[in-house]
Amino acid sequence: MSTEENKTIIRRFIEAADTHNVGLAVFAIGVMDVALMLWIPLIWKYTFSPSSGLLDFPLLSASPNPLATWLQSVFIGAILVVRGAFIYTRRPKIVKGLILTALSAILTLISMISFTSLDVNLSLASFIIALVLFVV
Amino acid sequence: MEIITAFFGIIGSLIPVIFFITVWYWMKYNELDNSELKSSAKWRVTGYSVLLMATWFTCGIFSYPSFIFRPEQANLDYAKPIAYVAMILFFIGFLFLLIGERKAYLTGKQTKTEATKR
Repeated sequence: MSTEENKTIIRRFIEAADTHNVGLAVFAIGVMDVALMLWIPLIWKYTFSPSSGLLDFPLLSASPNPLATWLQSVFIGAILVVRGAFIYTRRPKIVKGLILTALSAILTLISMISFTSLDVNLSLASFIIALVLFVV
Repeated sequence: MEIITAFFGIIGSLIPVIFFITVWYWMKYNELDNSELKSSAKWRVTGYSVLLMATWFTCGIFSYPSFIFRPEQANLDYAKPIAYVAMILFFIGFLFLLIGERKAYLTGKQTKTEATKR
């Protein structure tokens, strides 16, 4: 298949995609992120394992950086939920909305990872850029 | 006074729930409303989300990773930058709310003026 044909297929797919469904999917991923990394670990701690730390929750402890994984939950959850709502209300085009959402989420993740290694400057810089991309 | 961690855990996890429901209703409202007020609502919801981030950072001062209330675990290397960022986020969040309210006021004023002229 040629590059042109691929582009046409992608363009048709994007045109066919309903902004409502794409927006709702991004919204749902945000809620799931917070559920898996915040709500379920809290329920686990207070009901099943009061003596353990939150970061001992299997899903968090399995992460290469449990603290950054825990910290990102609300930030990336909020970013995905709000940007999902923006896509739903057709503010940005779907592709632009998805790209901005992904960039914002990745930069927030970089910010959290650098923060846990106490690289405050990199953390702050990437967080500010993520915030700007989130607001745009 | 004893620190009941469950109190902070339960209320802290309810805050994002309330926020998500707020965004949900904002999203649904935007589907119905086609007026210029949508722009001001966008500023407001962005302000709320920045305030949520500020709240989450504030939580990080008292709980993971700073534990400022527990001297045996306390880590000021985390607490100090978190305190600065939280303050900046609170400022930005309230600034966005101000912009949103001002936009709503100006839009309402303009609509009223146009209606009077007719």
